[in-house]
Amino acid sequence: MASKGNLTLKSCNGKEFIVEEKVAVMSTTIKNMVDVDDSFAQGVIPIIGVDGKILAKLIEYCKEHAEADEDEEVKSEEYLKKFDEKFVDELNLNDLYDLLKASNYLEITKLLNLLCQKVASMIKGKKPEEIRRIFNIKNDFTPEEEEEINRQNPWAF
Amino acid sequence: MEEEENKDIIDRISELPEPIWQHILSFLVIKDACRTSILSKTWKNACATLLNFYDQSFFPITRPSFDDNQEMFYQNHQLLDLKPYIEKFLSLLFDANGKIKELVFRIGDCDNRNPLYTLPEAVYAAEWLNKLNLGGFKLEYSASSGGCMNNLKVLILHSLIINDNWVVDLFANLPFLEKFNFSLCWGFETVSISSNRIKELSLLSCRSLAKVEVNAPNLSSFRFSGNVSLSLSLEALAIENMYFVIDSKTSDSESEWHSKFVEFLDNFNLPRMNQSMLLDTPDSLLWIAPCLDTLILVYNRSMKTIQFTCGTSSTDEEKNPCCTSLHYKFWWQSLKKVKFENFQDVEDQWKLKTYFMENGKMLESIVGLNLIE
Repeated sequence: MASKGNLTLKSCNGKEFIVEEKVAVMSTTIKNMVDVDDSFAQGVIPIIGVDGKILAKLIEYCKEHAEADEDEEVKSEEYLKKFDEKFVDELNLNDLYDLLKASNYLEITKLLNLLCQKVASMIKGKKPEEIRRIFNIKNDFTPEEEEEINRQNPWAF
Repeated sequence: MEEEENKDIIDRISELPEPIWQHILSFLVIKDACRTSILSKTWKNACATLLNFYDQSFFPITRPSFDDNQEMFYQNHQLLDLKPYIEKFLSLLFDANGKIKELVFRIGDCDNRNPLYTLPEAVYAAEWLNKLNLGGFKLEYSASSGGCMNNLKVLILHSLIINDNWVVDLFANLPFLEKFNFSLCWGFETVSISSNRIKELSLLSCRSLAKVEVNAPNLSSFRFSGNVSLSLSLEALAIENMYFVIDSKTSDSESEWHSKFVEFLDNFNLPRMNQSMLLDTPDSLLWIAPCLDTLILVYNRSMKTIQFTCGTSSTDEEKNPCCTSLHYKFWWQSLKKVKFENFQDVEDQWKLKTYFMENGKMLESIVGLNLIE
């Protein structure tokens, strides 16, 4: 049971996290739940499809940003920028995908933007073979089909 | 990324939900985003839906913002039939209920090919627009199309096919146009403008253009590039900025270039003082535009500048401070200061100096001359 002002979030593999309400409501989805139904604020909020490891990451991110929103002096914009950089740099591909899905589902817009930007930066300016290698994408075109796409969009390649 | 951990991942990025994917692509410039169509079939399909994004503010370089009252649609390739997207885009424009004041509607360059799409006539009914920037279309407009864009102040046309009728109707239906740019447009021969409102006019590289008539007392900037054999009549005494680029071969010498330019200036039907070619240039230009601010002559990469400072009659201004259209019919009534830059040839400079000294009735100083070899 969480004390007043705190919420309990439960991952899909049963791990519980007690977090301050201001941290939890960085997620628009959770905010809507709490706003609509008071009982959520009292009980445990199940976070479907998000495991403990990813939920811990999400909370880590939301905590920094919620605190920064509250007091700009303690956590400056520059500090947050550095935190964001470090946060995405430490992720492996699997975590990146899981966080993308979770932040999309929980509607944590800032984080979703950050993660999408990260993936975009991994694609930017790279050759198709490099991108395929980074993301393990299997090329399922026949050589003829590939030729056709190149021919259609000569400016892009 | 740790390679080891990636080993047993089977392309999870392609399994992400569509909205996430679109969001990722939205952080890329179009070129990078479209390049992903070659990755795999899944990516190609996602890329085809990219066109949907243009009207949903996804691309950073084309990001429309309803806050800024600006909408963009820029597409530079032919991945698929654009008609449904063009229609969707237009419906968005009209759904916004007059909130969008600036419209950029470009679908690439038509170059020498025939454009694939005709601009939907519905655009002309967007009477609330202030700025319109069109490119890559074929324009078919007739008075019967209806629509009178009363609020349009800026019109930029780039890489379009336009017929003469369209151009005639255009000016009849845009009474408040202030800035008008034509570039790389073709299919029309004549541009005839008579307007008190127009302030900026550019006609750049419109290869079919043969005749230009401008009567615009408030025109302050005129830019032209193209062929010397054009018939040009310009009634615009308020011009402060003029920009001419004349088609010439790179093998032309400076004197050949000069003679071409003077041939071009003949278009203006000016009183000719029979000076040397060098003197004809500033002379002619000052006749065309008595309020000329700076004259820059560029041949190859050497840039020569003559800067003019015109005096204004202070008494007149005090009497009527709002009157900004105080123009002199003749340059020598107003020219006070001439400044040269980057001139090296001593003889040229002597000629120019003598010319200004003899003709400038109000001239107070000439500076920047470099008369020592």
